[in-house]
Amino acid sequence: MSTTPDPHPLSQLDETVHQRARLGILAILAETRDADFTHLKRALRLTDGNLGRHLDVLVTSGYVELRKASDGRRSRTWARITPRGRQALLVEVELLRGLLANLPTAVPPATGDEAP
Amino acid sequence: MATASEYVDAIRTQQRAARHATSLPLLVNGLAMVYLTYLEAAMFGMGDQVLVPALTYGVLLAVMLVQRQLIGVGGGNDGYGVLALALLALLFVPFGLAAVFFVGSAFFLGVGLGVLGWRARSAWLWVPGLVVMAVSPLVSLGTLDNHAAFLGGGVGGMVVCTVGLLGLGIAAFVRERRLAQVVPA
Repeated sequence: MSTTPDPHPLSQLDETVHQRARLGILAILAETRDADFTHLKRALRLTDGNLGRHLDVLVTSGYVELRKASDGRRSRTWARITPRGRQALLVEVELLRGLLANLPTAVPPATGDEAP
Repeated sequence: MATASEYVDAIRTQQRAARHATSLPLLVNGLAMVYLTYLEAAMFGMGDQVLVPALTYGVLLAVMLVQRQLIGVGGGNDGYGVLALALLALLFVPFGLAAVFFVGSAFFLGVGLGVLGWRARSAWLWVPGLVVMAVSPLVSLGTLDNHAAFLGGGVGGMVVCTVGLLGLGIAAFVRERRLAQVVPA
């Protein structure tokens, strides 16, 4: 009788969170609680369009909320991580740490100095 | 290129530096210590000191909110407002005022730094917090006056702590400016 093998841990990674820029956005917002568009752009060295697209994906997934505010002189877009987004980031990081912990340690190659 | 978890940790370090989460608590507490040192030197009573810890963390919260508006980075999850309220509530619990009298207001500034440092796993905060917590009772109970005249007594102890906090705060600020510029790979 054949049994279905357990899914590989890599299959449990959330592609929305796993993408480098989006991971960075969530990591920033998890630490700061919220940040404006300009700060995210500078911190991650992204273009306006690139950051906007990644934020759209995160908002659609319910991981980030966007809010427009004005301080009288200019309009600013603030991003805030949601509890769901915080949880998704935590799960992603724990999963990756677990994967790394299970990797075999590399054995250094022989140098040829060993005695015959 | 760093692993994803290393990347997240590097981002966290960068963002704590960007919002000066280490230097601002040290500097604000240092300025509070300047005031408490003045009160100690002028031999004012405890009545002028009891609100200092709560006000200090209230000021720290206000500074973080102003910084948020200026540079667009939030105040984080350190809980400055909760600390301010807890230190205010201390005055109304049984023996709360007596505790302030015996260990000194500076002790509770140190408690605040210790809590912030413990939560953030930052020795830059909890170590000076512990030092201030150790020195404050020695000042308020007159121990330093009686046994450490070479140091300048209680006032000398307060001066050392004040200079230490301000010096650490400046060093932390310089370090944060450098760390905030690093873009994690």
